[in-house]
Amino acid sequence: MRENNRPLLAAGIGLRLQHLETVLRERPKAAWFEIHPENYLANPYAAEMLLEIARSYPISVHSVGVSVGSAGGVDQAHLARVRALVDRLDPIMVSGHLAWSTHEGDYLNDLLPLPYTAESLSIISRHIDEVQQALGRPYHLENPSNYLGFAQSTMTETEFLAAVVANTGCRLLCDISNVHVSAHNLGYDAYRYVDEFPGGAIGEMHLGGFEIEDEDSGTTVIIDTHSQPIDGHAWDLYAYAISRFGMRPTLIEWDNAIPALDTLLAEADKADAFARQALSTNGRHALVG
Amino acid sequence: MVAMPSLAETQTRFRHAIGTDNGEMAGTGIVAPGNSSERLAIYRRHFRESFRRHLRGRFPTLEWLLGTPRMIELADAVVRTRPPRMPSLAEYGSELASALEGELGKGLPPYLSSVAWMDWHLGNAAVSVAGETLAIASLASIDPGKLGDTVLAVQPGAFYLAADWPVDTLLGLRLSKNPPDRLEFEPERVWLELRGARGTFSFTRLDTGSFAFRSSLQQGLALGVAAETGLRSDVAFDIPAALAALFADGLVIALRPLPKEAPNA
Repeated sequence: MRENNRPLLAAGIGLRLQHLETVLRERPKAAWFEIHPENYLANPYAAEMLLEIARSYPISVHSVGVSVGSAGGVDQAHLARVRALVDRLDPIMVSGHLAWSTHEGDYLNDLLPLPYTAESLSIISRHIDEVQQALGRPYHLENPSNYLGFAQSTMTETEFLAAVVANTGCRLLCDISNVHVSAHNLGYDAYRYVDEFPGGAIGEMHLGGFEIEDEDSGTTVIIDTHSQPIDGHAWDLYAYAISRFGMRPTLIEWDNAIPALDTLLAEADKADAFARQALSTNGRHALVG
Repeated sequence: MVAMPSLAETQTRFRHAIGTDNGEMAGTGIVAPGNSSERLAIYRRHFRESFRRHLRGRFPTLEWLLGTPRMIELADAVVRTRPPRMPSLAEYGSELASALEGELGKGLPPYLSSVAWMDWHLGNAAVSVAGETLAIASLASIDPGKLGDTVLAVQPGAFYLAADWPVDTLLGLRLSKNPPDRLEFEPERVWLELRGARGTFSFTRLDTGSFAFRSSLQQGLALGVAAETGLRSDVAFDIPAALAALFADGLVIALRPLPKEAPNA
């Protein structure tokens, strides 16, 4: 199975359509970019710009539409289109979510939660096998941000992820902000979650902004909006994760109320600074890749 | 002991719950520290708002005419009755224009479906990539006896729309800095060429013969058939002039022999 192993020593940023022309014009000092393939499949102009950018920058492909959690199966036509783009880009990584977003052919445009059961494990493992076979590359599976759970779950999320890795040989994308969001929303300890995360399988980390809302029941819920700077709680958890797992390619996600490119690059610099600080404090060497 | 639903059953109920106003998840075991219905509503809200945002972005002239509250009602109705079938969201929206031609258009001004198609085509035109244009001299490479069977591939960012109302006037007003407070808007048959590439778009009225000719070529019909279509639309249609204008406008990007028909076709 093919894997592009170019090392990523600095944090990258999510590249959204609004910034394509700016990147081509200004050639900013970005370490790497991550794109959503679904934004390019029906936008030839954006795809043309992306291919030009890919000549100068490492690109990671992060799908929001390959629904490995759908009981009804993976949309093979969509997977083939993603594969075609992946072949043209030769990305450093390909990733997606532990979630479902299609149902009986309808596309729901959200990353919906799953019960962590033996049945889900079997279905998702089968689908990841299909995806990896189709792409000819390892797939990086991202832990979701959840607002609710399921009583029928028989495994924790980290146990479930470890089992998927064992079944499929896939790798993991540890979204640190999602850990904080889900831990707050579902009432568990984010640091313990990181302790239990299958760290050896982590190929990438994500950091994204979120917003807190009051609920009628008197509780608060954190919404994973990707519309804000990274919150202090997420930075602290990121430093903790780096100190445990070592350096991993890290991405700044910002998908709504998207600011100027400089703001995103500054967040990436901040991630690098947190990682360096965490490693020097912990006395560990960077484990890249 | 109550049997837990399968993953397929859970997802069917979840999909129903987020796609309807008061969908609940009874029996599916959703849990949350506060009120699980409130948490479910977060998914429902995202589902609705993401599609509203997308459809509003694809139909700016339609929203300008309808107003945002009506546009949101329309978007919700389309998502409910004709949900997207592909994860590439940019491809979702023609369903709204089609729906305005039918049930959802009842009681609305009759020109709105044409406005919607105009918005839809211009959006697609603006994200297209223009191909390198051919000069009319390129026709010299074709055996004159086979010219009529030649397919002239046109720019991918060219679309053709015939409407019973001058909807391009509405678009022009939306794009102008000082639209009038009132507009006398009367039916008038118009034939529009909507073009674009790499983030830009333009719109032009054509005469009926040129419209028939160019739209036939855009559908992949051979030059001879397209010319006949132009003549049928307008007996005064000037084929040599139309052909020269087609090339002069940078519309032709390739010349291809007519594909052989499949057996038994």
